Amino acid sequence: MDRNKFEVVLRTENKKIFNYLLKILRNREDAEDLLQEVFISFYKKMDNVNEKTYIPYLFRTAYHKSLNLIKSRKKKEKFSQHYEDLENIAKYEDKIETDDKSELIRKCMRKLPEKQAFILEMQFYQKMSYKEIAELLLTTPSAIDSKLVRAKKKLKKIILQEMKENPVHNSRGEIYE
Amino acid sequence: MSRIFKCKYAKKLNAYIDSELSKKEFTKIQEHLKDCLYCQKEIREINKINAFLSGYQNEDVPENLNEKILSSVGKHSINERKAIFLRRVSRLSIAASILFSLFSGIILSNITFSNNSTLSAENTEIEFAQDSLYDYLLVEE
Repeated sequence: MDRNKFEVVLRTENKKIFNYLLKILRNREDAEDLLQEVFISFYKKMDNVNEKTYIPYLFRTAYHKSLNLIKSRKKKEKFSQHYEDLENIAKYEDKIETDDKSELIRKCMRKLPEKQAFILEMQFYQKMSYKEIAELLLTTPSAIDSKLVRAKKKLKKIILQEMKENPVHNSRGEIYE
Repeated sequence: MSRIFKCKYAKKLNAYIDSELSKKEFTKIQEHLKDCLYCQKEIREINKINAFLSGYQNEDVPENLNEKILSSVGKHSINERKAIFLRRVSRLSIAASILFSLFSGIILSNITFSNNSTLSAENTEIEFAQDSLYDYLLVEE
């Protein structure tokens, strides 16, 4: 394994993966933990991954790892006696963090189904084509197209809901200028 | 007030904005947009969502996180090297034990063979002595 090559990939691509994780996970600690897991797992498999597909590979790993984390968290919360407390903490965290526009976007993205959020991330933020995303998810470009349409419609609903709950965002022109 | 009906081309608008349509389709939608109020409204909605998403500013990764990852990977390398070394040692020891059993087998079989031949020679000598004694006794009788 080429450690120097790994370090170059880590330093150039970590920001993209970290911000994707921030958008879909509830807190920073989870994003930081998963970022470490993603890169360590990448390091172990690096020799078997084509250099041209390093970035899609990293995103796919991040997607699957975050999906597992979200699922296990949902399961835990379902059986937790402190479910309501956790919810209240999350609400409180949301309240203190939504001053930041990026945090507001993250908050809305987190409410999207994981797959839709992933496709939106790949298309909108990573500028991947429908064809590239389709190859990554083993599906067709037209399926990606319809998923993106659904994702944006859902996102619109989420934003409108957010505006209703926190009119301050709208009055500051953060949503829908 | 004129009513706006849902348009069949609306589902192509997202791909139109993302430049994912063929040139022919792109021109078709472009022309269509001049007259269709529904699609014009849809385009505005998609642009609003895109403008909202554009407001995201990437955060930097905490520097200590890179160091943590690199040190974990370093540990992994050391562990892996240890594992490779142990694997090689175990393979070598298996090979050595096979060789040892082969050689010891050969040596043991040689010893047995030579022992057998010595024994058979001894047996022949004893038989010969017995025969001679028998002959002698017969003559004596």
